[in-house]
Amino acid sequence: MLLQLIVNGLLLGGIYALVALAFSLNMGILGVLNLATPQIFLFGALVGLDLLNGQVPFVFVLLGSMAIGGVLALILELVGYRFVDKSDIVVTLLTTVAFGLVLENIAERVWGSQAQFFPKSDLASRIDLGPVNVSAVQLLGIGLAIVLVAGLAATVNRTALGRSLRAVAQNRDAAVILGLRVRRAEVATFLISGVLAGGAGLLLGLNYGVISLDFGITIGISGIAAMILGGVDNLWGAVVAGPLLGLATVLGTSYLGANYNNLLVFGLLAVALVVRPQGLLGKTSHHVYRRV
Amino acid sequence: MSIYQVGLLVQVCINILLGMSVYVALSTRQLNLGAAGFMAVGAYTAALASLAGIPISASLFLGMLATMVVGLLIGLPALRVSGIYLAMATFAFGLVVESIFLVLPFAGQARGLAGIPPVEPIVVFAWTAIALGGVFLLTRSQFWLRVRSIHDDEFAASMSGLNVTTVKISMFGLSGALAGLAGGVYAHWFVYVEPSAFSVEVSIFAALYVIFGGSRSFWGPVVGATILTLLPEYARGLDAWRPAFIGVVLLVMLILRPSGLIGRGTSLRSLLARRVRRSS
Repeated sequence: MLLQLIVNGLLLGGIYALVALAFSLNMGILGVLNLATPQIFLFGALVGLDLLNGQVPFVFVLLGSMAIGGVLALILELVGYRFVDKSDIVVTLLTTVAFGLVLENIAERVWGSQAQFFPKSDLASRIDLGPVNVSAVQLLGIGLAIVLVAGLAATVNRTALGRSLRAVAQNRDAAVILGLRVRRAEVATFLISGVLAGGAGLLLGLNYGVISLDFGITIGISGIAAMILGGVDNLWGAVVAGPLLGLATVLGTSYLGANYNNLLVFGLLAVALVVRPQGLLGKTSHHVYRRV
Repeated sequence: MSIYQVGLLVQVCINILLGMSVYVALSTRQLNLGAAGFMAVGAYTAALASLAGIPISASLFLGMLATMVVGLLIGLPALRVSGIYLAMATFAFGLVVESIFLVLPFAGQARGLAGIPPVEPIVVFAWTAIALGGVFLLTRSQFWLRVRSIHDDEFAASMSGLNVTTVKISMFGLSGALAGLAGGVYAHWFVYVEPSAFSVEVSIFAALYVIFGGSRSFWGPVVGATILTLLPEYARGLDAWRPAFIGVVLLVMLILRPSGLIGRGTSLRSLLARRVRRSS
Protein backbone atom coordinates (compact mmCIF):
# COMPACT_ATOMS: atom_id res chain seq x y z
CA MET A 1 0.00 0.00 0.00
CA LEU A 2 2.65 2.50 1.08
CA LEU A 3 4.89 1.49 -1.81
CA GLN A 4 2.01 1.96 -4.25
CA LEU A 5 1.27 5.41 -2.82
CA ILE A 6 4.89 6.43 -3.14
CA VAL A 7 4.96 5.32 -6.77
CA ASN A 8 1.68 7.13 -7.50
CA GLY A 9 2.97 10.29 -5.86
CA LEU A 10 6.26 10.29 -7.72
CA LEU A 11 4.54 9.71 -11.07
CA LEU A 12 1.93 12.40 -10.45
CA GLY A 13 4.90 14.61 -9.68
CA GLY A 14 6.15 14.10 -13.22
CA ILE A 15 3.13 16.00 -14.48
CA TYR A 16 3.49 18.63 -11.74
CA ALA A 17 7.03 19.10 -12.94
CA LEU A 18 5.76 19.94 -16.44
CA VAL A 19 3.34 22.52 -15.03
CA ALA A 20 6.05 23.94 -12.81
CA LEU A 21 8.33 24.26 -15.84
CA ALA A 22 5.66 26.14 -17.75
CA PHE A 23 5.51 28.63 -14.89
CA SER A 24 9.21 28.83 -14.21
CA LEU A 25 10.23 29.60 -17.80
CA ASN A 26 8.11 32.75 -17.82
CA MET A 27 9.12 33.56 -14.30
CA GLY A 28 12.83 32.84 -14.50
CA ILE A 29 13.48 34.40 -17.89
CA LEU A 30 10.95 37.22 -18.09
CA GLY A 31 9.99 37.74 -14.44
CA VAL A 32 6.33 37.21 -15.34
CA LEU A 33 4.17 35.06 -13.11
CA ASN A 34 1.76 33.82 -15.76
CA LEU A 35 -1.53 33.23 -13.99
CA ALA A 36 -3.25 32.39 -17.28
CA THR A 37 -1.32 29.10 -17.29
CA PRO A 38 -4.19 27.19 -15.58
CA GLN A 39 -6.53 28.23 -18.35
CA ILE A 40 -4.03 27.35 -21.09
CA PHE A 41 -3.75 24.06 -19.32
CA LEU A 42 -7.55 23.64 -19.37
CA PHE A 43 -7.62 24.30 -23.11
CA GLY A 44 -4.92 21.69 -23.66
CA ALA A 45 -7.05 19.12 -21.85
CA LEU A 46 -10.32 20.10 -23.54
CA VAL A 47 -8.91 20.17 -27.07
CA GLY A 48 -7.13 16.89 -26.36
CA LEU A 49 -10.40 15.36 -25.22
CA ASP A 50 -12.15 16.46 -28.42
CA LEU A 51 -9.35 14.99 -30.51
CA LEU A 52 -9.44 11.73 -28.53
CA ASN A 53 -13.19 11.48 -29.13
CA GLY A 54 -12.50 12.05 -32.82
CA GLN A 55 -10.41 8.84 -32.89
CA VAL A 56 -7.21 10.72 -33.70
CA PRO A 57 -3.99 8.74 -33.01
CA PHE A 58 -2.58 9.61 -29.60
CA VAL A 59 0.61 11.21 -30.91
CA PHE A 60 -1.46 13.75 -32.79
CA VAL A 61 -3.73 14.31 -29.81
CA LEU A 62 -0.68 15.24 -27.74
CA LEU A 63 0.64 17.45 -30.52
CA GLY A 64 -2.77 19.11 -30.81
CA SER A 65 -2.91 19.88 -27.08
CA MET A 66 0.59 21.29 -27.20
CA ALA A 67 -0.23 23.35 -30.28
CA ILE A 68 -3.32 24.97 -28.73
CA GLY A 69 -1.26 25.74 -25.62
CA GLY A 70 1.45 27.33 -27.72
CA VAL A 71 -1.00 29.39 -29.78
CA LEU A 72 -2.78 30.71 -26.68
CA ALA A 73 0.52 31.62 -25.07
CA LEU A 74 1.52 33.53 -28.22
CA ILE A 75 -1.76 35.45 -28.13
CA LEU A 76 -1.10 36.23 -24.47
CA GLU A 77 2.37 37.47 -25.37
CA LEU A 78 0.80 39.78 -27.95
CA VAL A 79 -2.05 41.22 -25.88
CA GLY A 80 -0.72 40.89 -22.37
CA TYR A 81 3.04 41.34 -22.55
CA ARG A 82 4.41 43.01 -25.66
CA PHE A 83 2.81 46.41 -25.18
CA VAL A 84 2.60 46.65 -21.42
CA ASP A 85 4.88 48.26 -18.88
CA LYS A 86 7.30 45.44 -18.05
CA SER A 87 9.08 47.30 -15.27
CA ASP A 88 6.10 46.80 -12.97
CA ILE A 89 5.65 43.18 -11.93
CA VAL A 90 2.07 43.84 -10.86
CA VAL A 91 1.00 44.95 -14.31
CA THR A 92 2.25 41.88 -16.18
CA LEU A 93 0.85 39.67 -13.42
CA LEU A 94 -2.59 41.18 -13.82
CA THR A 95 -2.64 41.15 -17.63
CA THR A 96 -2.23 37.37 -17.39
CA VAL A 97 -5.10 37.25 -14.88
CA ALA A 98 -7.30 39.27 -17.25
CA PHE A 99 -6.37 37.02 -20.17
CA GLY A 100 -7.18 33.98 -18.02
CA LEU A 101 -10.65 35.40 -17.30
CA VAL A 102 -11.31 35.68 -21.03
CA LEU A 103 -10.01 32.17 -21.74
CA GLU A 104 -12.06 30.57 -18.99
CA ASN A 105 -15.18 32.31 -20.22
CA ILE A 106 -14.55 31.06 -23.75
CA ALA A 107 -13.98 27.53 -22.48
CA GLU A 108 -17.25 27.69 -20.55
CA ARG A 109 -19.18 28.88 -23.61
CA VAL A 110 -17.65 26.35 -25.99
CA TRP A 111 -17.47 23.23 -23.83
CA GLY A 112 -20.10 23.98 -21.17
CA SER A 113 -19.56 24.30 -17.45
CA GLN A 114 -20.16 20.67 -16.47
CA ALA A 115 -17.34 18.20 -15.88
CA GLN A 116 -16.23 16.18 -18.89
CA PHE A 117 -15.08 12.59 -18.85
CA PHE A 118 -12.28 11.09 -20.84
CA PRO A 119 -13.12 7.95 -22.80
CA LYS A 120 -11.80 4.68 -21.43
CA SER A 121 -8.55 4.02 -23.20
CA ASP A 122 -5.67 1.59 -23.03
CA LEU A 123 -3.56 4.42 -21.66
CA ALA A 124 -5.37 4.38 -18.33
CA SER A 125 -5.04 0.62 -17.83
CA ARG A 126 -2.73 -0.52 -15.08
CA ILE A 127 0.49 -2.38 -15.73
CA ASP A 128 1.67 -4.76 -12.99
CA LEU A 129 5.24 -4.29 -11.87
CA GLY A 130 5.69 -6.78 -9.04
CA PRO A 131 4.28 -5.28 -5.82
CA VAL A 132 3.04 -2.09 -7.47
CA ASN A 133 1.15 -1.20 -10.61
CA VAL A 134 1.35 1.89 -12.76
CA SER A 135 -0.75 3.26 -15.61
CA ALA A 136 0.62 4.03 -19.05
CA VAL A 137 -0.41 7.66 -18.60
CA GLN A 138 1.67 7.97 -15.46
CA LEU A 139 4.69 6.50 -17.21
CA LEU A 140 4.09 8.75 -20.18
CA GLY A 141 3.88 11.78 -17.91
CA ILE A 142 7.14 11.18 -16.16
CA GLY A 143 8.85 10.10 -19.39
CA LEU A 144 7.68 13.17 -21.24
CA ALA A 145 8.72 15.38 -18.33
CA ILE A 146 12.24 13.98 -18.41
CA VAL A 147 12.53 14.24 -22.19
CA LEU A 148 11.19 17.79 -22.28
CA VAL A 149 13.39 19.01 -19.45
CA ALA A 150 16.44 17.42 -21.02
CA GLY A 151 15.52 19.04 -24.34
CA LEU A 152 14.99 22.38 -22.68
CA ALA A 153 18.22 22.16 -20.72
CA ALA A 154 20.10 21.37 -23.92
CA THR A 155 18.41 24.28 -25.70
CA VAL A 156 19.10 26.74 -22.92
CA ASN A 157 22.69 25.66 -22.37
CA ARG A 158 23.90 24.82 -25.87
CA THR A 159 22.09 26.82 -28.54
CA ALA A 160 22.18 30.43 -29.66
CA LEU A 161 18.53 30.82 -28.69
CA GLY A 162 19.34 29.49 -25.24
CA ARG A 163 22.18 31.96 -24.90
CA SER A 164 19.85 34.84 -25.67
CA LEU A 165 17.30 33.44 -23.23
CA ARG A 166 19.91 33.38 -20.49
CA ALA A 167 21.04 36.87 -21.41
CA VAL A 168 17.49 38.22 -21.15
CA ALA A 169 17.07 36.45 -17.83
CA GLN A 170 20.23 38.05 -16.47
CA ASN A 171 19.65 41.57 -17.66
CA ARG A 172 17.09 42.47 -20.27
CA ASP A 173 18.31 46.02 -20.78
CA ALA A 174 21.89 44.93 -21.33
CA ALA A 175 20.70 42.28 -23.78
CA VAL A 176 18.82 44.93 -25.75
CA ILE A 177 21.86 47.23 -25.83
CA LEU A 178 24.11 44.42 -26.99
CA GLY A 179 21.81 43.90 -29.95
CA LEU A 180 20.50 40.50 -28.96
CA ARG A 181 17.19 39.54 -30.47
CA VAL A 182 15.32 39.99 -27.22
CA ARG A 183 11.90 39.97 -28.86
CA ARG A 184 12.58 36.55 -30.35
CA ALA A 185 13.70 35.22 -26.96
CA GLU A 186 10.57 36.56 -25.30
CA VAL A 187 8.24 35.06 -27.89
CA ALA A 188 10.12 31.75 -27.64
CA THR A 189 9.72 31.74 -23.85
CA PHE A 190 5.98 32.21 -24.06
CA LEU A 191 5.69 29.63 -26.85
CA ILE A 192 7.64 26.92 -25.02
CA SER A 193 5.83 27.43 -21.72
CA GLY A 194 2.48 27.38 -23.52
CA VAL A 195 3.37 24.14 -25.29
CA LEU A 196 4.38 22.59 -21.95
CA ALA A 197 1.17 23.72 -20.26
CA GLY A 198 -1.01 22.39 -23.08
CA GLY A 199 0.69 18.99 -23.02
CA ALA A 200 0.56 18.79 -19.22
CA GLY A 201 -3.16 19.59 -19.35
CA LEU A 202 -3.85 16.59 -21.57
CA LEU A 203 -1.73 14.25 -19.44
CA LEU A 204 -3.45 15.33 -16.23
CA GLY A 205 -6.86 14.99 -17.81
CA LEU A 206 -5.98 11.44 -18.85
CA ASN A 207 -4.58 10.74 -15.40
CA TYR A 208 -7.70 11.86 -13.55
CA GLY A 209 -10.14 10.78 -16.26
CA VAL A 210 -12.25 13.90 -15.75
CA ILE A 211 -11.87 17.66 -16.26
CA SER A 212 -13.92 20.58 -14.99
CA LEU A 213 -13.45 24.32 -15.44
CA ASP A 214 -11.67 24.79 -12.13
CA PHE A 215 -9.40 21.84 -12.81
CA GLY A 216 -6.60 24.04 -14.08
CA ILE A 217 -6.53 26.28 -11.03
CA THR A 218 -5.90 23.58 -8.42
CA ILE A 219 -3.15 22.04 -10.50
CA GLY A 220 -1.82 25.46 -11.43
CA ILE A 221 -1.39 26.36 -7.79
CA SER A 222 0.47 23.10 -7.20
CA GLY A 223 2.60 23.97 -10.21
CA ILE A 224 3.49 27.35 -8.72
CA ALA A 225 4.32 25.62 -5.45
CA ALA A 226 6.58 23.15 -7.29
CA MET A 227 8.25 25.98 -9.18
CA ILE A 228 9.08 27.93 -6.04
CA LEU A 229 10.16 24.84 -4.12
CA GLY A 230 12.49 23.84 -6.93
CA GLY A 231 13.93 27.27 -7.50
CA VAL A 232 12.88 29.56 -10.31
CA ASP A 233 16.24 29.88 -11.98
CA ASN A 234 16.99 26.19 -12.23
CA LEU A 235 15.21 24.01 -14.79
CA TRP A 236 16.02 20.83 -12.91
CA GLY A 237 14.54 22.26 -9.74
CA ALA A 238 11.07 21.61 -11.12
CA VAL A 239 12.00 17.98 -11.81
CA VAL A 240 13.04 17.50 -8.18
CA ALA A 241 10.25 19.52 -6.58
CA GLY A 242 7.43 18.15 -8.77
CA PRO A 243 7.71 14.54 -7.56
CA LEU A 244 8.35 15.75 -4.01
CA LEU A 245 5.12 17.69 -4.10
CA GLY A 246 3.29 14.82 -5.78
CA LEU A 247 4.48 12.56 -2.98
CA ALA A 248 3.31 15.02 -0.30
CA THR A 249 -0.06 15.35 -2.03
CA VAL A 250 -0.70 11.63 -2.36
CA LEU A 251 0.54 10.71 1.12
CA GLY A 252 -1.25 13.67 2.72
CA THR A 253 -4.52 12.79 1.04
CA SER A 254 -4.33 9.14 2.04
CA TYR A 255 -3.21 9.51 5.63
CA LEU A 256 -4.64 12.87 6.73
CA GLY A 257 -7.60 13.32 4.40
CA ALA A 258 -8.16 15.55 1.40
CA ASN A 259 -8.85 18.59 3.59
CA TYR A 260 -5.32 18.55 4.96
CA ASN A 261 -3.79 18.23 1.54
CA ASN A 262 -3.70 21.95 0.71
CA LEU A 263 -2.57 22.84 4.20
CA LEU A 264 0.38 20.48 3.83
CA VAL A 265 1.39 21.65 0.35
CA PHE A 266 1.03 25.38 0.94
CA GLY A 267 2.32 25.28 4.46
CA LEU A 268 5.43 23.66 3.02
CA LEU A 269 5.56 26.33 0.35
CA ALA A 270 5.09 29.25 2.73
CA VAL A 271 7.84 27.95 5.00
CA ALA A 272 10.13 27.32 2.03
CA LEU A 273 9.55 30.84 0.70
CA VAL A 274 10.55 32.45 3.94
CA VAL A 275 13.43 30.15 4.83
CA ARG A 276 14.83 29.60 1.37
CA PRO A 277 13.16 31.90 -1.16
CA GLN A 278 15.53 30.82 -3.90
CA GLY A 279 14.18 27.26 -3.79
CA LEU A 280 15.83 23.91 -3.20
CA LEU A 281 18.13 24.04 -6.22
CA GLY A 282 18.18 27.79 -6.67
CA LYS A 283 21.37 29.80 -6.61
CA THR A 284 22.35 32.25 -3.89
CA SER A 285 19.65 34.53 -2.56
CA HIS A 286 21.48 37.49 -4.04
CA HIS A 287 20.52 36.12 -7.42
CA VAL A 288 16.87 36.06 -6.49
CA TYR A 289 16.73 39.66 -5.34
CA ARG A 290 18.33 40.79 -8.57
CA ARG A 291 15.03 40.87 -10.40
CA VAL A 292 13.12 42.81 -7.81
CA MET B 1 -33.44 51.99 -2.14
CA SER B 2 -34.31 48.39 -2.86
CA ILE B 3 -32.77 45.51 -0.96
CA TYR B 4 -30.84 44.65 -4.10
CA GLN B 5 -29.27 48.09 -4.30
CA VAL B 6 -28.38 48.09 -0.61
CA GLY B 7 -26.78 44.67 -1.04
CA LEU B 8 -24.79 45.99 -3.97
CA LEU B 9 -23.62 48.96 -1.91
CA VAL B 10 -22.50 46.67 0.92
CA GLN B 11 -20.59 44.61 -1.63
CA VAL B 12 -18.97 47.81 -2.87
CA CYS B 13 -17.99 48.66 0.73
CA ILE B 14 -16.45 45.21 1.27
CA ASN B 15 -14.50 45.46 -1.97
CA ILE B 16 -13.31 49.00 -1.26
CA LEU B 17 -11.97 47.82 2.10
CA LEU B 18 -10.22 44.91 0.37
CA GLY B 19 -8.78 47.24 -2.25
CA MET B 20 -7.62 49.61 0.49
CA SER B 21 -5.94 46.67 2.22
CA VAL B 22 -3.88 45.95 -0.90
CA TYR B 23 -3.29 49.67 -1.47
CA VAL B 24 -1.68 50.44 1.89
CA ALA B 25 0.70 47.48 1.61
CA LEU B 26 1.50 48.33 -2.02
CA SER B 27 2.32 51.89 -0.91
CA THR B 28 5.54 50.44 0.48
CA ARG B 29 5.99 48.25 -2.62
CA GLN B 30 4.67 45.15 -0.90
CA LEU B 31 2.20 43.36 -3.16
CA ASN B 32 -0.24 41.48 -0.95
CA LEU B 33 -1.89 38.66 -2.89
CA GLY B 34 -3.29 37.14 0.30
CA ALA B 35 -6.06 39.62 1.09
CA ALA B 36 -8.59 36.78 1.12
CA GLY B 37 -6.56 35.08 3.85
CA PHE B 38 -6.72 38.18 6.05
CA MET B 39 -10.37 38.55 5.19
CA ALA B 40 -11.01 34.97 6.32
CA VAL B 41 -9.29 35.59 9.67
CA GLY B 42 -11.43 38.69 10.25
CA ALA B 43 -14.61 36.97 9.11
CA TYR B 44 -14.16 33.92 11.32
CA THR B 45 -13.03 35.89 14.36
CA ALA B 46 -15.96 38.29 14.11
CA ALA B 47 -18.41 35.47 13.39
CA LEU B 48 -17.25 33.37 16.32
CA ALA B 49 -17.34 36.40 18.61
CA SER B 50 -20.89 37.26 17.53
CA LEU B 51 -21.98 33.68 17.94
CA ALA B 52 -20.60 33.85 21.49
CA GLY B 53 -22.97 36.73 22.18
CA ILE B 54 -20.71 39.76 21.74
CA PRO B 55 -22.40 42.80 20.07
CA ILE B 56 -21.78 43.09 16.34
CA SER B 57 -19.71 46.27 16.35
CA ALA B 58 -17.48 44.88 19.07
CA SER B 59 -17.12 41.66 17.05
CA LEU B 60 -16.14 43.62 13.96
CA PHE B 61 -13.54 45.43 16.01
CA LEU B 62 -12.25 42.15 17.45
CA GLY B 63 -12.00 40.68 13.96
CA MET B 64 -10.07 43.73 12.82
CA LEU B 65 -7.75 43.54 15.80
CA ALA B 66 -7.04 39.83 15.33
CA THR B 67 -6.31 40.33 11.65
CA MET B 68 -4.05 43.25 12.38
CA VAL B 69 -1.99 41.02 14.67
CA VAL B 70 -1.83 38.38 11.94
CA GLY B 71 -0.81 41.11 9.49
CA LEU B 72 2.02 42.25 11.78
CA LEU B 73 3.15 38.64 12.21
CA ILE B 74 3.13 38.10 8.44
CA GLY B 75 4.84 41.43 7.85
CA LEU B 76 7.90 40.33 9.78
CA PRO B 77 8.96 37.32 7.66
CA ALA B 78 7.68 39.18 4.59
CA LEU B 79 10.64 41.53 4.96
CA ARG B 80 12.89 38.70 3.84
CA VAL B 81 11.38 38.55 0.41
CA SER B 82 10.32 41.29 -1.97
CA GLY B 83 8.74 41.87 -5.34
CA ILE B 84 7.14 38.93 -7.04
CA TYR B 85 8.46 36.58 -4.34
CA LEU B 86 6.58 38.48 -1.68
CA ALA B 87 3.50 38.33 -3.90
CA MET B 88 3.84 34.55 -4.11
CA ALA B 89 4.50 34.22 -0.38
CA THR B 90 1.33 36.14 0.46
CA PHE B 91 -0.48 34.12 -2.21
CA ALA B 92 0.62 30.96 -0.39
CA PHE B 93 -0.42 32.53 2.93
CA GLY B 94 -3.94 33.08 1.59
CA LEU B 95 -4.15 29.44 0.55
CA VAL B 96 -2.82 28.26 3.91
CA VAL B 97 -5.47 30.26 5.77
CA GLU B 98 -8.20 28.90 3.50
CA SER B 99 -7.04 25.35 4.17
CA ILE B 100 -6.61 25.95 7.92
CA PHE B 101 -10.26 26.96 8.23
CA LEU B 102 -11.12 23.83 6.28
CA VAL B 103 -9.74 21.66 9.10
CA LEU B 104 -10.21 23.77 12.27
CA PRO B 105 -12.71 21.80 14.40
CA PHE B 106 -14.44 24.82 16.04
CA ALA B 107 -14.83 26.72 12.74
CA GLY B 108 -17.30 24.32 11.17
CA GLN B 109 -14.73 23.00 8.66
CA ALA B 110 -16.16 22.64 5.13
CA ARG B 111 -19.73 23.11 6.41
CA GLY B 112 -18.85 26.64 7.47
CA LEU B 113 -20.42 28.76 10.21
CA ALA B 114 -24.14 29.52 9.96
CA GLY B 115 -26.55 31.56 12.05
CA ILE B 116 -24.31 34.62 12.38
CA PRO B 117 -26.42 37.61 13.55
CA PRO B 118 -27.16 39.95 10.61
CA VAL B 119 -25.80 43.48 10.54
CA GLU B 120 -27.73 46.66 9.71
CA PRO B 121 -26.57 48.27 6.43
CA ILE B 122 -26.05 51.59 8.19
CA VAL B 123 -23.53 49.93 10.53
CA VAL B 124 -21.63 48.63 7.50
CA PHE B 125 -21.54 52.08 5.92
CA ALA B 126 -20.48 53.70 9.18
CA TRP B 127 -17.61 51.27 9.70
CA THR B 128 -16.48 51.64 6.11
CA ALA B 129 -16.59 55.42 6.41
CA ILE B 130 -14.60 55.36 9.64
CA ALA B 131 -11.96 53.03 8.16
CA LEU B 132 -11.69 55.05 4.94
CA GLY B 133 -11.55 58.29 6.90
CA GLY B 134 -8.74 56.87 8.99
CA VAL B 135 -6.73 55.83 5.96
CA PHE B 136 -7.45 59.17 4.27
CA LEU B 137 -6.11 61.10 7.26
CA LEU B 138 -3.10 58.81 7.30
CA THR B 139 -2.34 59.56 3.65
CA ARG B 140 -2.41 63.27 4.47
CA SER B 141 -0.17 62.85 7.50
CA GLN B 142 3.55 63.30 7.91
CA PHE B 143 3.87 59.54 8.36
CA TRP B 144 2.75 59.03 4.77
CA LEU B 145 5.83 60.91 3.58
CA ARG B 146 7.91 58.07 4.99
CA VAL B 147 5.69 55.56 3.24
CA ARG B 148 6.14 57.39 -0.03
CA SER B 149 9.85 57.69 0.36
CA ILE B 150 10.05 53.90 0.84
CA HIS B 151 7.94 53.42 -2.25
CA ASP B 152 10.14 55.68 -4.32
CA ASP B 153 13.50 54.40 -3.11
CA GLU B 154 13.71 52.07 -0.15
CA PHE B 155 17.48 52.14 -0.03
CA ALA B 156 17.71 55.92 -0.07
CA ALA B 157 15.01 56.10 2.59
CA SER B 158 16.94 53.77 4.89
CA MET B 159 20.15 55.72 4.24
CA SER B 160 18.35 58.88 5.33
CA GLY B 161 17.85 57.33 8.72
CA LEU B 162 14.29 56.20 8.20
CA ASN B 163 13.30 53.02 10.03
CA VAL B 164 12.09 51.16 6.97
CA THR B 165 11.33 47.98 8.89
CA THR B 166 8.76 49.45 11.27
CA VAL B 167 7.03 51.38 8.50
CA LYS B 168 6.76 48.32 6.26
CA ILE B 169 5.54 46.05 9.05
CA SER B 170 2.99 48.56 10.28
CA MET B 171 1.63 48.93 6.74
CA PHE B 172 1.19 45.17 6.66
CA GLY B 173 -0.64 45.35 9.98
CA LEU B 174 -2.90 48.05 8.57
CA SER B 175 -3.41 45.99 5.44
CA GLY B 176 -4.48 43.09 7.64
CA ALA B 177 -6.83 45.24 9.73
CA LEU B 178 -8.64 46.60 6.66
CA ALA B 179 -9.09 43.17 5.08
CA GLY B 180 -10.17 41.84 8.49
CA LEU B 181 -12.87 44.49 8.70
CA ALA B 182 -13.99 43.53 5.18
CA GLY B 183 -14.20 39.93 6.37
CA GLY B 184 -16.19 40.81 9.48
CA VAL B 185 -18.66 42.82 7.41
CA TYR B 186 -18.90 39.98 4.91
CA ALA B 187 -19.65 37.43 7.65
CA HIS B 188 -22.40 39.53 9.23
CA TRP B 189 -23.96 40.58 5.96
CA PHE B 190 -24.17 37.12 4.42
CA VAL B 191 -24.73 35.56 7.92
CA TYR B 192 -22.76 32.54 6.72
CA VAL B 193 -19.05 31.88 6.13
CA GLU B 194 -17.28 28.93 4.57
CA PRO B 195 -13.61 28.53 3.63
CA SER B 196 -14.27 28.56 -0.12
CA ALA B 197 -15.64 32.12 0.14
CA PHE B 198 -12.05 33.26 0.68
CA SER B 199 -10.42 31.77 -2.41
CA VAL B 200 -7.44 33.11 -4.35
CA GLU B 201 -9.77 34.86 -6.80
CA VAL B 202 -10.86 37.22 -4.01
CA SER B 203 -7.23 38.15 -3.36
CA ILE B 204 -6.48 38.64 -7.03
CA PHE B 205 -9.54 40.81 -7.52
CA ALA B 206 -8.52 42.93 -4.53
CA ALA B 207 -5.24 43.63 -6.32
CA LEU B 208 -7.10 44.31 -9.56
CA TYR B 209 -9.24 47.01 -7.89
CA VAL B 210 -6.10 48.88 -6.89
CA ILE B 211 -4.30 48.59 -10.21
CA PHE B 212 -7.45 49.46 -12.14
CA GLY B 213 -8.23 52.52 -10.03
CA GLY B 214 -4.66 53.64 -9.52
CA SER B 215 -2.14 52.47 -6.96
CA ARG B 216 -0.63 55.86 -6.18
CA SER B 217 -3.70 57.67 -4.92
CA PHE B 218 -6.09 57.13 -2.03
CA TRP B 219 -9.02 57.43 -4.45
CA GLY B 220 -7.60 54.77 -6.77
CA PRO B 221 -8.80 51.68 -4.87
CA VAL B 222 -12.10 53.42 -4.03
CA VAL B 223 -12.84 54.14 -7.68
CA GLY B 224 -11.42 50.81 -8.88
CA ALA B 225 -13.42 48.70 -6.45
CA THR B 226 -16.61 50.65 -7.13
CA ILE B 227 -16.35 50.38 -10.90
CA LEU B 228 -15.28 46.74 -10.98
CA THR B 229 -18.05 45.77 -8.56
CA LEU B 230 -20.79 47.65 -10.37
CA LEU B 231 -19.60 46.98 -13.92
CA PRO B 232 -20.70 43.31 -13.97
CA GLU B 233 -24.11 44.35 -12.63
CA TYR B 234 -24.63 46.89 -15.37
CA ALA B 235 -23.23 44.53 -18.00
CA ARG B 236 -26.07 42.09 -17.51
CA GLY B 237 -26.99 42.46 -21.16
CA LEU B 238 -23.80 40.59 -21.96
CA ASP B 239 -25.11 37.73 -19.89
CA ALA B 240 -22.80 34.78 -20.25
CA TRP B 241 -19.89 36.80 -21.58
CA ARG B 242 -19.46 39.00 -18.50
CA PRO B 243 -16.15 37.54 -17.24
CA ALA B 244 -14.63 37.90 -20.70
CA PHE B 245 -15.91 41.48 -20.90
CA ILE B 246 -14.27 42.30 -17.57
CA GLY B 247 -11.08 40.62 -18.76
CA VAL B 248 -10.99 42.67 -21.96
CA VAL B 249 -11.70 45.93 -20.10
CA LEU B 250 -8.83 45.15 -17.73
CA LEU B 251 -6.44 44.25 -20.55
CA VAL B 252 -7.19 47.46 -22.43
CA MET B 253 -6.82 49.44 -19.23
CA LEU B 254 -3.51 47.80 -18.27
CA ILE B 255 -2.08 48.41 -21.75
CA LEU B 256 -3.29 51.99 -22.20
CA ARG B 257 -2.96 53.29 -18.65
CA PRO B 258 -0.97 50.92 -16.42
CA SER B 259 -0.85 53.50 -13.63
CA GLY B 260 -4.62 53.18 -13.17
CA LEU B 261 -7.50 55.58 -13.72
CA ILE B 262 -6.36 57.98 -11.05
CA GLY B 263 -2.71 58.97 -10.89
CA ARG B 264 -0.86 60.43 -7.92
CA GLY B 265 -1.22 63.99 -9.04
CA THR B 266 -4.02 64.79 -11.41
CA SER B 267 -2.99 68.41 -11.83
CA LEU B 268 -1.59 69.47 -15.16
CA ARG B 269 1.75 70.43 -13.67
CA SER B 270 2.47 67.03 -12.21
CA LEU B 271 1.37 65.36 -15.45
CA LEU B 272 3.85 67.50 -17.38
CA ALA B 273 6.56 66.80 -14.84
CA ARG B 274 6.02 63.07 -15.32
CA ARG B 275 6.31 63.43 -19.10
CA VAL B 276 9.59 65.26 -18.76
CA ARG B 277 10.99 62.72 -16.36
CA ARG B 278 10.07 59.84 -18.64
CA SER B 279 11.67 61.41 -21.69
CA SER B 280 14.90 62.31 -19.92
